[in-house]
Amino acid sequence: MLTDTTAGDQRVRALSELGSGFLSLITHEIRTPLAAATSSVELMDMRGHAWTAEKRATVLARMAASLTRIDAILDDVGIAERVASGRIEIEPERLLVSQVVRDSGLAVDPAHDEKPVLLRRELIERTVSNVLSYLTPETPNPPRAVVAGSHPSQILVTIDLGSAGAAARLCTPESRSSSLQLRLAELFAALDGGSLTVERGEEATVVATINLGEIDGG
Amino acid sequence: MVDETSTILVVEDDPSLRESISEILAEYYEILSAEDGKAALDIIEQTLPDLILSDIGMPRLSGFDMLETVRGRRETASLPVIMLSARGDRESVRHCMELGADDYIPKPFKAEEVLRAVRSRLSRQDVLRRPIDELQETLSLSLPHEFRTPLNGVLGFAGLIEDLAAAPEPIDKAELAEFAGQINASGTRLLRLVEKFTFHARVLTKAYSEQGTSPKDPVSAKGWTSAAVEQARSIASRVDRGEDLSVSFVSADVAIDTGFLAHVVGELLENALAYSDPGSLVMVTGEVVDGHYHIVVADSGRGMSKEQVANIGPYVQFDRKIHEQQGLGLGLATVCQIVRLYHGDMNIESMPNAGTTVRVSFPLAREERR
Repeated sequence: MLTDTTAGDQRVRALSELGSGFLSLITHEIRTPLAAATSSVELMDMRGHAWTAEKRATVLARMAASLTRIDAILDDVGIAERVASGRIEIEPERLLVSQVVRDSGLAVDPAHDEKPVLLRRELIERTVSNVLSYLTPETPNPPRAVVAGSHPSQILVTIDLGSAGAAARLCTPESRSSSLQLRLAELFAALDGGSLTVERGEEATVVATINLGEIDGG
Repeated sequence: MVDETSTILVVEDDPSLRESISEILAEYYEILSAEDGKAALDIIEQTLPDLILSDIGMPRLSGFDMLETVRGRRETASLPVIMLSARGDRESVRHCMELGADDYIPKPFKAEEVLRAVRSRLSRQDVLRRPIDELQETLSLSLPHEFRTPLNGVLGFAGLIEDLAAAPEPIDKAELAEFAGQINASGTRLLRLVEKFTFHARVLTKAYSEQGTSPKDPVSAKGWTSAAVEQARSIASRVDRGEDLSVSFVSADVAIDTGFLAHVVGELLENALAYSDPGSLVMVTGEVVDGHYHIVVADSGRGMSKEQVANIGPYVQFDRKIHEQQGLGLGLATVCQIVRLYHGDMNIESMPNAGTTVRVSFPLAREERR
């Protein structure tokens, strides 16, 4: 059980992580959907008068998708900031990691002796979301994952991307530092004194290693 | 080529943005699109685009890795590449340029920015390719024909000598000497053609490789003038027109390689002698005017019309059916290229049947100008 002091220390650490380079990360994430939205607006302005209703609807849908994406990014950041500052609490739950991974859309082979662990669902969901942003035509549909506990306070989630290139790309320092989802997942891991690393596995796989911290030591 | 048939490859993993960019460009160009660097390279294997517009952060293969691959292959090394990125920091821009990108557009951007960047890159590519296209035209159009004639002469008369040797009659020395002389003449003509072509290619290659770079500082030092006089006399003697030549050069340091300067004088004089009648005067002078060295070659030969002057090119010979002239028509075209290369000037005054005056000028060397 966390004491207030421990929780406070961890939050300070998490906030520090949050602040470090976060603003540039957010602006980086937003630029692409913003470019898509503004380009669609310009196209409509330049050529919309000659379009059919169907064409206009397609471009509007494209614009809406981009704005929804921006909205989601800002939402994510807002939640993360509020959690880190203690204004809201996302309670950890006792979860089967393989079930959370399955709920995120992957086909999972769980460890035969998997036990529920106490952690925040957000940590797993955002880790998977980061990995799935590197889907390629070679990725199996649905993507396959294996969940294993290497020791009582550590869980390994191995995801097959189907492309060694995509796996390598995902694990470059640049990709890691520019992924909002991964940074948020790391935040949730840090809140509990744990950690998250995502590294290249064998062939076309990546391995997310979750160290559970002090919430659940075994 | 900068026209509606130029093909642009758009590489962007965000489908909405990829569609928007493609639509912006589709009004003016053919568009291919790819969702990441790997897909882009697969497309390039099948169809070589005229320009690539690429995001940087993408799954499977990033824009940076794709750019490195494109620059590492001979067939795509000079393909224009414009990078799009959510990173506007100086380090990212510098990294793009170090990898060989031609331009960088930060997101978000206006449609006009993208269009302008694409247009500008395609225009530049067109200009850069011109010396190479000219060389290719020379190779494919005029070279085979021009080489074939003297080569046929060599082979033909060599064949006749073989026949002479195989015949039972004793060899007629006079006939043998005549055939050998013809082989010699054809071989000499062939050698001259090879030299002309090689020099033309050298000038074009130098022009292509030095585009966009700072000009070097070549100098033809004062001593070049006596060599130039000797050269001019030798050229005139070769065609028995030594008596028709008047040559004088004022001594000065000129900002051009000595070899190229000698070539300019040689080509202009050869043309003047070739297109004028024996017994008519050909004047070659060199003088300093307003910080420049002017070389003037004047003849009173058959001259050229305005259209002919305008159409001077490496494979064009005027009125070939009426006035058969051997050669590739490279002489004046090479001189034009050299003038361009050394920031000089060229002026041709000519009228049909009234002779031609060609004036080329080059800047004096820096020390000379002081």
